[in-house]
Amino acid sequence: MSNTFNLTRFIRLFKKHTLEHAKTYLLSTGVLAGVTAIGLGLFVVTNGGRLAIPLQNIVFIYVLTLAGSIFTSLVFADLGDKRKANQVLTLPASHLEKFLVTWIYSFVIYQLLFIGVFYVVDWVIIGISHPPANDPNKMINIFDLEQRAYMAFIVYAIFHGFTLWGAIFFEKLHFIKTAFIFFIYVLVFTVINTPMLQFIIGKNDLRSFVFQQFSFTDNKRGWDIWATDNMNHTTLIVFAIAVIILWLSAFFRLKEKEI
Amino acid sequence: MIELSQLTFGYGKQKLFDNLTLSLKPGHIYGLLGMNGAGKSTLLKNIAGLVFPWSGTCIVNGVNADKRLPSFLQELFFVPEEIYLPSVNAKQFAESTGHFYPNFDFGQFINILTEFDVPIDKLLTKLSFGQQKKVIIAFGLSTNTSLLIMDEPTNGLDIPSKAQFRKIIASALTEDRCVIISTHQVRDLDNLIDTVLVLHNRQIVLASSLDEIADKVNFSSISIDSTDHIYAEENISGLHAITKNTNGSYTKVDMELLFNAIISNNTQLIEILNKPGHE
Repeated sequence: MSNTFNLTRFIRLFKKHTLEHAKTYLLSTGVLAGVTAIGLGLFVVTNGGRLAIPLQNIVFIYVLTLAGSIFTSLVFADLGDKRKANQVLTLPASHLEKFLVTWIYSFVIYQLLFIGVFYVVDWVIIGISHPPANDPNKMINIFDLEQRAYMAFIVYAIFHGFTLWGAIFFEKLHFIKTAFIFFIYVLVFTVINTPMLQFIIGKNDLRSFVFQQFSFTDNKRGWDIWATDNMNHTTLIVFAIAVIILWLSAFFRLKEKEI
Repeated sequence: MIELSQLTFGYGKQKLFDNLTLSLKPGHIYGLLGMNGAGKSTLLKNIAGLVFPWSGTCIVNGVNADKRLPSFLQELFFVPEEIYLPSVNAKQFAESTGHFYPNFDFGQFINILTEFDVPIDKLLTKLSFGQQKKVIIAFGLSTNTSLLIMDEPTNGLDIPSKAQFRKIIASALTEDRCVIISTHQVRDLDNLIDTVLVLHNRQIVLASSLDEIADKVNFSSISIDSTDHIYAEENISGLHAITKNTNGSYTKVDMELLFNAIISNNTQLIEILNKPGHE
């Protein structure tokens, strides 16, 4: 039997995890539905019964990302509790199998579940809303490229990378500490981005927005430089690499975890 | 089975073990004794791969413990001092966890729980601490792993349960199995262990079978004015003492007296007990 990955052992671990966390996950799904309903419901109430596609998009992106980040930040909470960590670390399964079960639950299953919950709640809210007769509410299509709801999955991947890393790196207050580190990174990026561009372009009045745009004046003419589509793809690739590095860091942290 | 070689470990800047070397064999029940804070639990965690040595090695069944490979873990069960059990009943727990251990015996698990008088259909989280401890001990024994480590297993057990515990552990020992039990309640190990390990001053100062100890020293009551002893404690009838065994007589090892003598840094006793061969 392989010491790195064995499918039978992995399935057993997956079943054990499911059995022992089923009640918590079921309750969490209820909370997720409640939060989604509150978000969509508030928009319906404040917009005279209308629920425009962009508003549904906002709820989809924010709830998916925020709820998912909180959930992911807790998936390795057992390792911060010595009583539970003993059992997790001495259970005869490989580190890769233990990591994969957690990754699948927090990344794959969570997103699939959220899509299902969102559509059910969205369908109910739209069903009970009373929009003007000439402007009926329509449900979003998360696969529609124009509606750009798919951006939620990219944003979630980045947040998942961070929170999964934080979940195993910190022993307590995982979400708060990870969010703090995340904002420090954002702050550092934002603060150093403009001086770096000023140095490269040679314009002291240059202003910028990270990964997106910068502007400056030259011969009394204002210039706005925006990232091209190709650059957006590059940004996505950079983010994808960062997410994979964060996942790998979390895995190696699990391997060297001591209690 | 277990080979600790030149193992050094500590927390932060505080060193707990310094070049510790120890060899443990199957077919024995080892009692690991030490004062509070001596590092008993930490030593067990090193053996279970839950912490990693600063230097030196801890090899269990030919594998480095700190790699925590599944093949190593399926031959080890660790009963920690503080336990956690999920919100399932004992039967469900055995069904979801037992198959990770190739020699797990479900019938044996149920039998031990019955002997311990623990309900198998009640949620584990609803059981008392003592009952939870019995569940994890029963599960550990039923895994039939070649190495069973128990850290303060009798904490939380009532007096009848401690007697049951001794009986059940003794019956579970086979020649292929090594059991290590740590405790600071020395009397709990009476009539159970066959080898004593004493951890003191960052070293294993004694690793000796009870028979070897009994060969070298006697444990008996002597008159209060006697000075012919290695170590003694006063009691109502005189002195309860450890004396040199010069005539090959046998007395039962009083572990509490032995432990007190060692932790009082009685070098004469430690030297006698660590001298190879018979006196």
